[in-house]
Amino acid sequence: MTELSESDFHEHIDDTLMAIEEAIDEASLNIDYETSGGVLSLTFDDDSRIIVNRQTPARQLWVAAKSGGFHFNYDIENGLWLRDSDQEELFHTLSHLCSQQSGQHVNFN
Amino acid sequence: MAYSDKVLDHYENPRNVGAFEEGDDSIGTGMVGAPACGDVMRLQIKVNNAGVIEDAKFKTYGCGSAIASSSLLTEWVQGKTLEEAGQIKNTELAEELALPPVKIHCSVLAESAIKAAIKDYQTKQGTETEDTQA
Repeated sequence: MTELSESDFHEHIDDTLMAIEEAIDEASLNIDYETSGGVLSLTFDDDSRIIVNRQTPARQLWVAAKSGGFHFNYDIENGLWLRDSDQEELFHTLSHLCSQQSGQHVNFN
Repeated sequence: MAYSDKVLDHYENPRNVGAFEEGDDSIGTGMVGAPACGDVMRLQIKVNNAGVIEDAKFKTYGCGSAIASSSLLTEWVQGKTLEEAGQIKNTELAEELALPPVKIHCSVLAESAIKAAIKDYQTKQGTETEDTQA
């Protein structure tokens, strides 16, 4: 299996954080977002948050939400982040989590 | 972001710190995390013949939330069956400790640790019956 180099890892993370921001804009959702120090924070109407950050030693993307913590590995072949426990794709998980916390239907796919 | 009183209490007075003796088949050990990642958690359970957790111990190298999550977990699992203990969710730990959002990951580690300890115990029991001539 090919290992992700640290620089590629950071590039993929930064691209992904940007893609999440764009997806929120495109869907015209009432979710505030801010990326600071490479960490993306989403804030919902009820002040609950979802935080997306990187765990560099493990080469993982981490999502902290109200309903739990989720860890994703990068699938180099398909260019996707897949959840370590059940291989669910990142944006699929995020749609679900954002729907839960915003109370509106969110679909990033 | 400040830690809650409950986190501080577990951090300053951690419950059930330590380790059981090696080579005891009634002990299950779960070791999760990696030094490079900043957190390592070692959780051990002592299980009686009825499949109930009688005692639990932990050693955690990590932040206050990681220590508090594993300390609380050792309190919660005592008296529970393996099945009940395996159903403890990271969100329940995070809620009890009022962890800040990003610290949910510490409770995820604790949930992984108890699951690993249960699996280790079950593997030991399984090997014991298959391989009596050790």
